[in-house]
Amino acid sequence: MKSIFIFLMGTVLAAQPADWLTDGGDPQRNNWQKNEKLLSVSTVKDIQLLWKIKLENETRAMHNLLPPLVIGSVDTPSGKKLLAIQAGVSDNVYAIDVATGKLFWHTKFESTYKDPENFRGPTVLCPGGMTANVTIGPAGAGKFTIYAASWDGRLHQINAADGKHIMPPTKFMPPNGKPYAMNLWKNVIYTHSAQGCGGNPNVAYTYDLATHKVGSWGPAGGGMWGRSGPAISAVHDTMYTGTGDGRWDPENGVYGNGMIGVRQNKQTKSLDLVDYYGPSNAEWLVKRDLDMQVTPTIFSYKGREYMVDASKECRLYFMDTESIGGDDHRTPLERTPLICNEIVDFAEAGIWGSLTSYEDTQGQRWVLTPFWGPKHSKYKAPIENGLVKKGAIAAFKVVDGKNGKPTLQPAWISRDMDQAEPPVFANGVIFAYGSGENTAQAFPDVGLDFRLERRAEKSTHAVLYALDAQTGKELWNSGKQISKWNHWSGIAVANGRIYINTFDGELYCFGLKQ
Amino acid sequence: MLPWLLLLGLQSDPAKLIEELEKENTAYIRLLSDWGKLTKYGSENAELRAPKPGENRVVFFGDDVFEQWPDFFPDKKEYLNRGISNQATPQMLVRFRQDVVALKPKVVVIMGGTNDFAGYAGPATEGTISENIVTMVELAKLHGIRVVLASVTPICDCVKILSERRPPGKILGFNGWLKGYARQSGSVYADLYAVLGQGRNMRKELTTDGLIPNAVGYAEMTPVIEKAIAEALAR
Repeated sequence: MKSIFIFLMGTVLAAQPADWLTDGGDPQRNNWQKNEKLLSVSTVKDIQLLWKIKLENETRAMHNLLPPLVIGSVDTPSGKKLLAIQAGVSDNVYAIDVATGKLFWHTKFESTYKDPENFRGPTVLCPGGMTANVTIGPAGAGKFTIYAASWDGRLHQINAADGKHIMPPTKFMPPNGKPYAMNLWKNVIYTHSAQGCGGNPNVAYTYDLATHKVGSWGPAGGGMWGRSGPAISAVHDTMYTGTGDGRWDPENGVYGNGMIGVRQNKQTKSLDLVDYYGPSNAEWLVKRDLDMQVTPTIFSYKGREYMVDASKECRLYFMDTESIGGDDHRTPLERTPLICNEIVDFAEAGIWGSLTSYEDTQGQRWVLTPFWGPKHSKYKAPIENGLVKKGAIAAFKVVDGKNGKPTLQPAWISRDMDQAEPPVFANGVIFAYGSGENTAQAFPDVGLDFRLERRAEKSTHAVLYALDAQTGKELWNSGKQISKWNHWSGIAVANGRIYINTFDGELYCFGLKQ
Repeated sequence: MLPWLLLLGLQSDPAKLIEELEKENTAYIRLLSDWGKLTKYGSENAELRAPKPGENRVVFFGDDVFEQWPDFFPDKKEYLNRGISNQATPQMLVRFRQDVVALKPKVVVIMGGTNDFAGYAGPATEGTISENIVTMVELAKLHGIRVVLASVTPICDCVKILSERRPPGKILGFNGWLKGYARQSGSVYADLYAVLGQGRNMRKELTTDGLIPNAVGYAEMTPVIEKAIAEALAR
């Protein structure tokens, strides 16, 4: 019986290998692996470390490896391969043969950008290098193209089968900026930048793959820094992002600390502002550096498209993509109460990264957020899985509200996690992790200090968790198997495996022995 | 290190001691990182519209006695309560701009001092409290805000012993200075002590714990404060 079961499972895997082709798993940044068949509430107890591989990517400030991606089946010169695609901040892209855990190919981009002579070295906020995670697009049966924006701002299109360029790199953005994870939607690449790195403006970018035309639009704020890059509305073909730091003053063309929706003009390929939203307490968010800086998640509920985003203030904003802020651009469908960050800390608390949304097998729509720091003393969920000191995952159900509009209903809060990062839902299980990173930016003895030396010393190690998606109850954790922490990364889940990397350049693959 | 080890050795339940120390540590971190408790009303302030022309916005700026005011002037939306429990005048001074000046009121009602006497912000005297009050009044006047100075309210030992930390003699002495300074600075003095107290103590029928007035106590305070506000607005 056991052998038949394994055969059947193997058949399922062979028939429908799952991909994870972009940050957040899809252009709407749902962090939902829809095709997982092996990992489940009943099997995650058997998860083990399958392999790990050290990738010789040079670290820049706190950055090393970007979130891993997965291609389920690529036709390569040596046959069909299940590949993990791993980008590194130092202009590297690696492909790892998942079956063996061995390096399959490696491409390092030739950079046309060189540091100036007076360059003082990479910093945490402006590390230089390739900061935008790559994104992958299908290019015919068994073929995939990897799109990467190198440090010099050029767009590379490489063949996933062998890592070779399929065309010469083309100009996309200014060099030495800080673009965020790229997104691919209807043959257009989307990204945005922040922190004014390299003296560059903070703008949203599009690259039209058919015409090679670049579009850009800037909200005049301090930068858009949702770590998973922009999310794309499937209904409006519009890119949405939080606008990070900066004043909210739309009358004067300043859209900081809010949300913007920008859309490519089909004729000119320029990028135009089509919608915007500013929280009613934006002035407070600016004053306390509680930026709207989270990658939103966009999903459908009862046939209508909605979006949820968050900020360091630590609440969720529930929006209808037809009009994200209502007539006055300041009224979303709902603002949740504060979930965390009671002490109004701009560095070690609040919501960071991206969100998660999925439907369970009963058709219930969920929205999950990670958060850093203790839970707010006034926030209660029906199920709480212990005292939260360093961070956790908060889960909400999307339900019909009294006014006929949907609302976010608190459901559960996970166990404590050391700096909880964006989780992934797969087949009834939430995969989450605490990065173990010390994210403090200010210290009583020296004040602000972004240096790697100080933060690395205080960081610990990442821990991966599997939680029951209905209750948040812990089902499994990786204990001390991951030896280092990570920064600016994420996880991928596909085909019975979970991928996570660390600051020292190790890529770990956990999963079920198959 | 040794005292901690000794403490751990003496404590019958070390885990409980560690938990208590962690709580204490967290409280100190919170106090240090937000000394003035600017986070209490900061977000709410940001959502307030500017006062309409002719609107008589009044900010009640103080400590426990204001914050715990039940059913705070339900018919007067122009009255804003910016009281924070356990707060002393050096902390109030830090948030005066955010919680008073930035709200552009016509009048501010200032009440502070009782928690200074109780040592919530370190050692305090009539001298230190009065300097903080003077600075707040000067800031208000600089911004064209009229001032009502409310007396420190009386206490009693009728529920628990409070007079050791808030000696009635010190409260009376401070209120004497406050009344004189109100006259000198062109402010209005609201003598809440007179309506809540009897001799050196708070009337026990007007309080729940000897410090905070009960509903009847607040009802006694209301006309005194309303009269003082009207007088300030008339100036």
